[in-house]
Amino acid sequence: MKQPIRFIHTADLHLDSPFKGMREVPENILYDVQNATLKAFERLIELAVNEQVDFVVIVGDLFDVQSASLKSLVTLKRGLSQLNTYGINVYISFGNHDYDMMRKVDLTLPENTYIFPTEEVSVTTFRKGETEAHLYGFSYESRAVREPKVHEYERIDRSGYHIATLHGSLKSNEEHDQYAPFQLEDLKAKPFDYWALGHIHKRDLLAQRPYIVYPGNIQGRHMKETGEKGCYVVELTEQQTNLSFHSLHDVLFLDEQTTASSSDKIDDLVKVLADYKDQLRHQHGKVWLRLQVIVPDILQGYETELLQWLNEQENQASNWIWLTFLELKTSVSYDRNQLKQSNQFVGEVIKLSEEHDKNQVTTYLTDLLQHRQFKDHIGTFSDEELSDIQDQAEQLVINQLLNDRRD
Amino acid sequence: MWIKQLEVVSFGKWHQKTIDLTSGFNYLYGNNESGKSSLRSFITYILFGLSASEREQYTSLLDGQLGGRLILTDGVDEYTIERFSHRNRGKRVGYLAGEVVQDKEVERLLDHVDHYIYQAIFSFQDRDLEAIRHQQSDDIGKVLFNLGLTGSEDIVEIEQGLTKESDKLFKKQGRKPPINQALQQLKAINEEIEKAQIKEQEHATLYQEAKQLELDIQALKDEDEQLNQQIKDNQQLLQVSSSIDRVQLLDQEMASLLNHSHLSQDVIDRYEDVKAKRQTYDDRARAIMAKMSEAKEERNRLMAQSKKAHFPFTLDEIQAWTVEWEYKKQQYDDLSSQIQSKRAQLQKLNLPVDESELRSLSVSDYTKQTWSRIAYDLHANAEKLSDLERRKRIKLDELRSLESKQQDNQKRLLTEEERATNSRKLEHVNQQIFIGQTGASRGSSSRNRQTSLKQTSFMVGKWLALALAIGFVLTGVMGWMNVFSYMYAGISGVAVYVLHIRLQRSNDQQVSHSGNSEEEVYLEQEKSEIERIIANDDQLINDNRDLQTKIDYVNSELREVESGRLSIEEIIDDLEFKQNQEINQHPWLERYELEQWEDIAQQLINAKHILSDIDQLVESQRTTESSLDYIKEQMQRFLSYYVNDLNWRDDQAGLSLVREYLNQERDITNQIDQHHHWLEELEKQLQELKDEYAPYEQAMEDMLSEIDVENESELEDVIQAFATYQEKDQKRTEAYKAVKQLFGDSTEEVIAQSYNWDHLQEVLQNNRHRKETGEAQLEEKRQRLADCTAHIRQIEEDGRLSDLIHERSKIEDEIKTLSKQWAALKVAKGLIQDTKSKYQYDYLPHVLTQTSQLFNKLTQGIYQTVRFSQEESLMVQRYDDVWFDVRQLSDGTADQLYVALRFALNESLRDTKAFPFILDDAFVHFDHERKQEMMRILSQQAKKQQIIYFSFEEGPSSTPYHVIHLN
Repeated sequence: MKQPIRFIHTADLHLDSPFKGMREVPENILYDVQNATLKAFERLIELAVNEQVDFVVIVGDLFDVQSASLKSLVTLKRGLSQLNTYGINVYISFGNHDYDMMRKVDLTLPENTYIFPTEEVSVTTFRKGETEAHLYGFSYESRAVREPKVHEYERIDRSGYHIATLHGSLKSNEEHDQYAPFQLEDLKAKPFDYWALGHIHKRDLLAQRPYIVYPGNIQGRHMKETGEKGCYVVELTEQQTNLSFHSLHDVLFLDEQTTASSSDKIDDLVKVLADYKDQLRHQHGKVWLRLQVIVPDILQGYETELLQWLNEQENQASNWIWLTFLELKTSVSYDRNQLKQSNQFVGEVIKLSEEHDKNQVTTYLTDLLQHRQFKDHIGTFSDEELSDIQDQAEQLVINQLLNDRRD
Repeated sequence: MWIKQLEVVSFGKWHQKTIDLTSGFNYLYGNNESGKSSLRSFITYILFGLSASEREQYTSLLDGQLGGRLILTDGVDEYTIERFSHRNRGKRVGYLAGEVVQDKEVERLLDHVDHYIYQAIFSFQDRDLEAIRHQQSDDIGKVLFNLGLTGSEDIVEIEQGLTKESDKLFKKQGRKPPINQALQQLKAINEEIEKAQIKEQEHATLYQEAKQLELDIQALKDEDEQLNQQIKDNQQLLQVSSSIDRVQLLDQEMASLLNHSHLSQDVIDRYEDVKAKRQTYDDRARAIMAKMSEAKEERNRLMAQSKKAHFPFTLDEIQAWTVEWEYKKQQYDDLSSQIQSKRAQLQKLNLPVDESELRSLSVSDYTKQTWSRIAYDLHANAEKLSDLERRKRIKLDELRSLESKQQDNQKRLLTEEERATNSRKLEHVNQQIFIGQTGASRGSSSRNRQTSLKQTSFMVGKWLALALAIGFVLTGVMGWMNVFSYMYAGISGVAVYVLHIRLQRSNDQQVSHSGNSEEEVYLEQEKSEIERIIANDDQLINDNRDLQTKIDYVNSELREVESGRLSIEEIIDDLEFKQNQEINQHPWLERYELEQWEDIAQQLINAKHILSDIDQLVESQRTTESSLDYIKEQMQRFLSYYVNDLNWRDDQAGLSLVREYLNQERDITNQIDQHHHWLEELEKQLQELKDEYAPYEQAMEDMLSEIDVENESELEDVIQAFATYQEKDQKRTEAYKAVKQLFGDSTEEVIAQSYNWDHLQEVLQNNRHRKETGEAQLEEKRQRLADCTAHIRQIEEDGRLSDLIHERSKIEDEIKTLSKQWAALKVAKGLIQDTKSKYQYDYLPHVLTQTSQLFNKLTQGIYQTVRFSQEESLMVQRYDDVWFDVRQLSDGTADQLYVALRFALNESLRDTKAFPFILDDAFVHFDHERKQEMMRILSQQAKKQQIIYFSFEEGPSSTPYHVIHLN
């Protein structure tokens, strides 16, 4: 008879990771945001203590390659020591962001902490009375592990629970760098009770038999990592597996859209947006917000003023709502295809833009891309960014050529 | 598409005006201010709208409206396009056969020509030339170039705007634009990060060093500990070297002494114990036996002293004699005194007879009673007689008194006559009173009232006095006898008095007020007087009657008394006879009064009792005396054992002597008994002692056999040897203890070894030196570790790298954002330029050919070819193959070039877009010939495209022109 086992499954802590999009932000908000990953980690520790879990599994990317600062290490050590005093074990497999840190400093961690030692999959056993839980995993020893690892996971012939940790991504996932790629079917085929995954920052339950879970990261770090972030408390019993999500983020990133089409005065719009913000504040606490508002034609073009006005008081608030981007949009928009047909010149521009590939676009930007500082430290624009730029440029041309406000 | 009809509802000066057009050349002319431009603007407005200022300019002053319709046709259907500023939010609305069509349909109808294209290509006016002439000469080329490319000079502005905007953000060689600045910041911060990273790298090195130091320190500590142990061991060994030596030596000595294996300290202890026990036993037994012989001696002496064994009676018997003798003696004396006392009593009785007479006299209680009864009866009857005589006297007195009273009353009685007179008087008076009855009744009532008032006042006074008295008493009782209570008493008293007086006074007043007349008073008095006299007389008659009755009663009583007296006298005589009989029998009775007889009889009875008592006492005395004699004889026998010639003169002295010897004998007997008991006790003790010692005796035997020696003396020797061993062992123990104090459990091990003390001393010195060196090293490493740790802590707590990284991220982000903006501007510009290039290569050759032909015609062959230079300017080739830049041409020639370009563009687009060509005073500055040429060209054009031409000049009236006069 196996006793139930309770553990926390978390990954991608990215401690002290630098945030993106922090221009012209008040000091207090900047402070909160910059410390958010550390705060979320502290909450993780608190949760483990409060929930009295048997152990914590961290599946890679404890650190951030962008910020291999000692601060992150000091915080990690403090948290692990705290768990040590409560007798909670921690099982860590290092991810692609961690190998640098391993090399940088000698990680003498508390005795409750077990780190999967090599890039080969190994197994360690946790004991709770008569019941055993066998944990499988590996640690990145280099920046990237490109080859599949699934075949290395072989269940040992022992009773108890079998938990596999894997920091990597689905083969089909093209959004992220592919590390230790796997096919969902491969994982399903292995006789494990739980697949604790890491690397993908978006929370995802890939399967339920057995559970194959990405807990996501514990704190969003830019506008692409929106929504609640946290970890799973997993309970394995002989009969079933129970998962409960616990949010840990300190700052919530939100990309929202709302309508204010009934307000035809700027004052009304201001009120609608202020109310909207208060609602968010009440619901979520600290929120980093990007907002698109559908407004009547008449209220177009007030973005700058509104943004300034709405953010004005936030440097005083503890539960701040920082509006990082505001777009007032009318329901009317240009019909690109129509333009392509109709207007000789604009149509030509659009056609040309369509014909241009990434390289042709970058030729317009050589001044900057060849700038030494830019080249060395920023690098280049990603395909996605270039695509954005191209869209914006097209929009600019269209606006310039067509916008004459005639009736 | 061509415009079939203009239906102006309200536009500028136009109002409800309909103009029909043909698909060919429409020539509309009128004076200045005739509304040519308004009509052209009307067409623009309906199709594409106007800017707010233009709308305001054309809003009708008549009805404040703006709007109208155009009827267009694509050769198949007729569409009505309508636009009013006040309808449909100012947007155009298309109708087909009365039904609204979607704007897309309208756009299709317009062949996707928008305002921009319309203005740039299909609308042409003199003002355009004006505008181009006002450009800087440097720009003319570019304007024309762009016009050539796109049909619009706006592109230049747009391009310039984009460049300006992008330069604001970033310049290749700039320093001030934000991206340049941010990049500089980035550079700086990266340098700082590098430094911080180096610092943190240093952290790793320090960490390693610290770890190594910790290991070193631990190693040194271990070594030091080892040395410490060694030094300690050596020091301790040296400290107790003499003790170790002694222990080792004693061990050797003691080994030779150990030859009697059976002996042990236990045996010795046991032996000593037994010896001690034996000594104690001997001492105690000796003491008991001494006591025993002493006791025996004393007992024998006492037994010799005692005579008890010789006489035939026991001591208790002798004791009983003494007691009995004394008792009997006392008894004898008591009897003597009793006899004497009885005789005294007899004497005291003073009897009328002597003892012998008394003995023969028979007197009993009956005698006494007889004598007593005679005395009593005589006395009682004498008293009765005297009483009867006294009563007789009293009754006689009473009779006499009653008879005198009767005589007095008889005298006081009224005569019959007097009685009648009085009756009459009374009647008379009553009549008189009746006459004055009214007054009388009043007086009566007032008297009644007076009485009642008096009673009331009395009652009131009485109750008040009572109440006050109670109050006073209560006050007093309750202990409030103070000034207030006195005051209360006083005041109450006064109040009572005053009240009483007042009541009295008022009553008196009332009485006086209600008083009768004098006559009435007198009558009343007279009446009462008469009534009183009558009543007195009646009373006397009654009294006399009563007195007679009493006299009769007293006489009867007197007769009774007399008869009683006579019977008593007879009884007395009888009694006196009996008395004399007794006197005759006992003549001495005569000497006594009859009353004394009873007492005499009693005395005689008593005396006879006393006599009998005396006789009994004398008998008892005699018996006692004989007992005394027997006892005396026995006691004398007892004394004879002690006194040779006994002279028993005095009983008391004899008795004392008996007692003395008896006590003496008793003492001796007791002492003998005591000694006997003591001896028994001592014997018992001796036996107990023996029993107690017996096991030790056995133990001694056992020991001897155990140690295997013949006797005690041998045992003593063995023990002596053992003592010597013990002494040595004691010394060894002391030495051992000194070693053990330092070495504890390992002492045995330490002692078992042999040592070279000098060598050991040398090793100790050496180790001490090593320890000092080690300690110095340890201290140094500790110092270094502390430095390292401090440094590590400093680096860890710094957090500089973290801050810098976040800062860098911020700057990078800023650069990214700005760069994107910049890139968008750049790409926009690039796209425009590339589009222009495309025009240059794809469309321009055709347009330029057209332009060249038209320009050739307009300049009458002077200029032949037009082309674009690399500097985005137009170049023209004169007939002599000389090339001129457009800026070198005269204004007129430049105008012609411009017109040629526009016409060429129209022509080039006409193939794809069927749209009317609208011209407004287009050639006003051209000379006649050139104007004619333009007309001719347009006429040719009108065959393919609707031409709407506005002019202030009257136009040709012939076909193909459809001329409309606007005035």
